[in-house]
Amino acid sequence: MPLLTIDDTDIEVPEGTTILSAAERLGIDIPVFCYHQGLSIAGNCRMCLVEVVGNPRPVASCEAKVSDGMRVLTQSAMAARARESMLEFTLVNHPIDCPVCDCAGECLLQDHYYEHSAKPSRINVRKVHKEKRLVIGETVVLDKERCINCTRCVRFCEEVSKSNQLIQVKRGDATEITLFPGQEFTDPYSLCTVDLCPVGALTSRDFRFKKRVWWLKQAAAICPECARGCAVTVDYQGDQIYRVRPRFEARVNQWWACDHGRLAYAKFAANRVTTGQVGVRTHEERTLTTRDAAIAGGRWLYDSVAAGGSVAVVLDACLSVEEGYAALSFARNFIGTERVHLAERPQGVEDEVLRRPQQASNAAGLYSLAEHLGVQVSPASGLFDGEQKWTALMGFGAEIELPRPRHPEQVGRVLLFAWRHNQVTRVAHTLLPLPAHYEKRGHYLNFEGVLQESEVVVQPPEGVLDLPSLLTTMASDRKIELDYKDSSQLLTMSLATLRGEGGSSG
Amino acid sequence: MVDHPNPSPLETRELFVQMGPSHPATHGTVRMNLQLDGETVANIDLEIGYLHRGFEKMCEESTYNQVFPYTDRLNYVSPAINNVGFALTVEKLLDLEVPERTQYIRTIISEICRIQDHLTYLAATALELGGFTVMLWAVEARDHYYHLFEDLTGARVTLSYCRVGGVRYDLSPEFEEKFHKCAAITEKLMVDIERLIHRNRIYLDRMCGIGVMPLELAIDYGFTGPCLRASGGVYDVRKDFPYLIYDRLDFDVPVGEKGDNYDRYLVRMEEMRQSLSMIRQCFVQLPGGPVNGPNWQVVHPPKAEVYDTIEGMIAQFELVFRGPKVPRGEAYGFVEGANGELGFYLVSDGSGRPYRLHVRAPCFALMQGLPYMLKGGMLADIIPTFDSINMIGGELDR
Repeated sequence: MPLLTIDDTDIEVPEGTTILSAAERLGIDIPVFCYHQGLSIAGNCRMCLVEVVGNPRPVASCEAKVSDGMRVLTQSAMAARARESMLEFTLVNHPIDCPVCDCAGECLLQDHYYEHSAKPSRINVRKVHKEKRLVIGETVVLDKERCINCTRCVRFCEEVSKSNQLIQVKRGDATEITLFPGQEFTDPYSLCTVDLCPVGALTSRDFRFKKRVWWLKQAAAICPECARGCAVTVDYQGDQIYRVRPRFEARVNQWWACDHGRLAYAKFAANRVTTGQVGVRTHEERTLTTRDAAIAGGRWLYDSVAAGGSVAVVLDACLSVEEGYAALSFARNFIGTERVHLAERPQGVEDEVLRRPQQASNAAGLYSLAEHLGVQVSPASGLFDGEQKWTALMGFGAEIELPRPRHPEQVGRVLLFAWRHNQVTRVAHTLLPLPAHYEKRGHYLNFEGVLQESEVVVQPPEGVLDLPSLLTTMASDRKIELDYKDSSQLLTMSLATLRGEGGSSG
Repeated sequence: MVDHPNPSPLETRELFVQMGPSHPATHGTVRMNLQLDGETVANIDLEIGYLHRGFEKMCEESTYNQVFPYTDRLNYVSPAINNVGFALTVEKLLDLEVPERTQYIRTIISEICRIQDHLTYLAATALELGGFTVMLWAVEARDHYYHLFEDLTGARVTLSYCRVGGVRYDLSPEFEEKFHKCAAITEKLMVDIERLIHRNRIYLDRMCGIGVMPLELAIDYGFTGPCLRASGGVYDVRKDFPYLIYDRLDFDVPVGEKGDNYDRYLVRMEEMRQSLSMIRQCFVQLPGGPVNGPNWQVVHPPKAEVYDTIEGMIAQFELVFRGPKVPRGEAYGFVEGANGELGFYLVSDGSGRPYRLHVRAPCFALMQGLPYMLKGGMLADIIPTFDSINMIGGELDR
């Protein structure tokens, strides 16, 4: 393995390593524009120039391979001057857009210029003007003037999403990013190009002018939209989510996320169930506090179970591991059933990049929990197969889609936990609010068996309580003990069960 | 007169009196819990903190340049000295040399502020001892400097004049001439004021031998500035640890002997004269050139560059939203404030905002010594003694 020296520190790296990644291992930060770990190496921005002793010219560290005995200087006068000159060159035609540019505040060009140059302009010629504010698709706006021609977006469309929609045309200072004539940018991963763009040339139509980035706070969450469960960073301020970006997770989604998943955050704000409602279907509707409605529903359920009624338990595959454990525990201890139905929602879009057909993020987790607890799981689509009659149906989660009963007597009362109103909540007798996905902390197991944690991003609306504590309220009202007492016990027990450690005995 | 038989002495008991926090005869918001034996102060318990705004915590959320308006509100009677003190601390950490002209300008405004501060002291003390005329005259002299500052910065009191690496505006061409006019007025009014109170019986009775602070105790309490020098301590940051261009100026440090109220008054009167002389020397030596350095990683670019070039725009953007990048480390910067050594202890984590900032406020040490100066004295003497340490709430409570 070659042994080289970077800024007076020795490091041994495998043959074929680039200088940039060797420096990265030493924690030495070399500025880049066009280089991205997830893409091929283009070496066209020349921002990563460093001095290699003995070499008369600076070397692009992103593509230059290390060799034995190499001495690299990242802070020498030659390297500093190379960076400064490249920045000056990059800025020659850059428009003075920062005050109206969405990228300002998270712009690599701003940061690198401030860090590595901060020298006044020496340019006295007019800037080259190009097309601005071009709406190139449903999701993305292109500003050709701001583009620094790093080609990250072009390489992404070629190598990752494989849509090949963006191309670079013309030469010299006329170079620009564009699409084939008449085409729209319809790539289902188009917003990744916005993340990749080091400047504000590609901006998200959804996020544009909504919020200055320095006001946003970040939380690490999991995308709920398919069985992949992409790791995402959610940008929010106060109680409002402004955008969702992919978060690097090598085992799941690398650097990417699909447009559908990132734009799904908007649905969580609308049409919410925020109070407990009893008698929704029978037009005797009463609005109670969440706790009172839960207790009322629980008493009715208890009585109907005691009278020998049959209760169908339907779980949404979007429930977190903790919520699923709580629901299963409720089904076993309160209802006394060892059989649940799972609403899996398998009708989604599938592609070769990330998206999975199953539109829920935790089906694998719930299956695994049920298996370890000895609970039998069947798909919710078979709920009304045969002549099965249910005195009551208890549903957990708003995304449940129920099959149509063959005749109305097949289902009695519906008791439903949901975060928003939909067709199923309309037939519910008792409706109880749930926190929406980004309002709760929880673990999710994706279809490949990767367990990830999602943080609380924003607080749920007032009156919304989390599912596990509502279930304990209902149970303790009838003097029934569930398998957990509080949230910390729930967390340890549910994760232990998932790993198959003494779950069913609890 | 009828002769009474020898009366038995009246029964006495100690009286507890709350003085402040908003007492008409004190300036500054502070509460004194007094234990009185007749008219004698048996004990005194000071309660401070009425003006606490969390200055140091606020600074952690602000970029370095956003801190300057906050420093104005420390000792708000001499705001420019606070500005200069903070700027010097940050520049110490940055290892940044500011242009020579800026150093002179900073010295000039610091000394003007010192004069203003002492005039305020003079006005308040005399007023609270009944000398209304003195107050009017001293405040008149001070007001001319406020006009001068208004011309310079647009603000009369809260100047926010310094920036990291420089100052906000250069002096106007008329500034020097206007200053000399103000100085002449100040000198005349000082002579008039001295005629009124220097050998005034009432003033002397209330000031001489009252509120004595012996030197050793003053040092123990951490006294600095005029109050230390009135007790005979020879310490002045400008002489002992010269900053800016003080080592190029010819000035004396007046020192008292007794450490009583009158000495504190005399020291301040002489300091004003010294300051006037220092500013005149500065104007003689004042070099030309820019007031801000060319380093855009610290100093805001000129507005023309910001609006017309992307380079200036980006530098401005980064400086405003991230703040000047100050290297990781810690520094203690200190200047001679009007009330003593004003220190800023700054810890930087390498970002554009202070990680932690602590202010060594001269008033805080002076207030510690105040109970000693008052104990055993008369109730009425609280007023001149409290005035003579010139407590400023904004700096004391932060």
